[in-house]
Amino acid sequence: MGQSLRTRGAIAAASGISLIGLLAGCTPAATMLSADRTPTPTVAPVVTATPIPTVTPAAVSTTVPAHPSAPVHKATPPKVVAPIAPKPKPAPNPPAALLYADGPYDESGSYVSPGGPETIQVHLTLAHDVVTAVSVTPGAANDPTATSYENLFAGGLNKVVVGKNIDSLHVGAVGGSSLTAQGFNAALAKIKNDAKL
Amino acid sequence: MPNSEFAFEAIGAPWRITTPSPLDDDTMAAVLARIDDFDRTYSRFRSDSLVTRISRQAGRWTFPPDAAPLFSTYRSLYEGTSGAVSPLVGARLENLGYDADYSLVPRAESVEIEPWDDVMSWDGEALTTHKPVLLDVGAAGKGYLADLVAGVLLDAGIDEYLVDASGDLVHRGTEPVRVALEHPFDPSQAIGVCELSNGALCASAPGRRSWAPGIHHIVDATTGQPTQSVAATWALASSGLIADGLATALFFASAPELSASFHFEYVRMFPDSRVEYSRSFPGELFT
Repeated sequence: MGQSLRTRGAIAAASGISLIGLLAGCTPAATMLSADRTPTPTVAPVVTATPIPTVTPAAVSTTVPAHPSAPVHKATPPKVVAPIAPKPKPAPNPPAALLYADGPYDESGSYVSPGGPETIQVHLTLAHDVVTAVSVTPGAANDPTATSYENLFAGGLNKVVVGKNIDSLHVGAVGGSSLTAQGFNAALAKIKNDAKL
Repeated sequence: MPNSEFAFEAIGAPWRITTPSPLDDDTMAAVLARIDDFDRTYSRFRSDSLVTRISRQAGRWTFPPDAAPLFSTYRSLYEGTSGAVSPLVGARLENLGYDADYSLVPRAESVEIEPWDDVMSWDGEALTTHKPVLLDVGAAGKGYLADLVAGVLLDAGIDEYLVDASGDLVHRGTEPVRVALEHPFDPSQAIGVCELSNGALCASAPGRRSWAPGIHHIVDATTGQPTQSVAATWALASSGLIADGLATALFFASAPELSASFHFEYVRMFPDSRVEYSRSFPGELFT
């Protein structure tokens, strides 16, 4: 899997470079040109985004295959790596910085259910950092009890959720765990920093 | 409703109380005092708390009146999950690195989590411990504290509110509130929307509080291991105490097993993005 993505990345990188050339050719004012060069890394970061969907088989709850923007992946935000712009001053009306390349992704993943390790194949499509389509092919199920319980009680079984941007939903609150203990987050940030090479 | 917000930080997390008109100073002070009271009893991160004293020696410990619903709910959760949800995970969480100093460094040697009846008993107002035990009420405590804060508002004559304890929500009022179900792997996204009206919605997801591969705060008390089989849960119930407790219990038990003791609606999301939800869940899932 990682293999095909790397190929995609290389193509995207190449097209990124040619895009810069194109901009240089058609931008009338020289000042505009330098301003325009900075936002172009929205294409370039695709290069660093490519290794992202590599799922470590030692599956933990965070190493989830189906969603490419898992916290694990965010450990290497592409924009940090993009060294092109000497001074990253945002251009007027900058495009939202995309973390991931659009397109189809295939990945296999595993997790540990109470009945033992489970393996699945996930196929998903990304557009503007949003998952627009997902399908999942389960591997050999090791835990038949899980599915039979689900049949008893569940309204939806084997349906796969697709994330939508919260900003677009007009909600009064968010039910989740993102606003977790600040002290914890601070400590975690420190540990990540310490762990840097 | 025209909304006023009272936002503050408590028990290490941001809170937000939304009401039709602004809270007066006395009510705000009463809310903060109520939270401080709770923290002084139950926090295992405070050297002056009752829980910390219980961790030092055996004895008979009289709790404040708010403990009775907490312990009885915990007992039901303990039984409904065959011992997986237990207030006795404190020492193991500390051992994994989730300690007062947030060391976040798992110790080399594990500690055993003992069965409830082997080490303590609850008689309705006091806890008798046969040895020092480190309690952790994290599985249901924050939702319960949201209930208690709602009680302060009711005492002040405020009967329309949304108490948002960092993602655990308690609502009362004539207008329902639309709540996004936060994607466990991406807080900018939601996997669905729920309509919350005169009840509580609590969520649990280990991924965002993970400090090492496979290490997080939702620990199976029967194995001592952080659970890996569920990615996120949401439970809708009449109170924050029950909703929060069930959000944790749904990591270890199926909804049919828990429905013997509790009335609730729920959503569970698995690591492969599949979801399971109750038939009457009031909302929409983006599938």
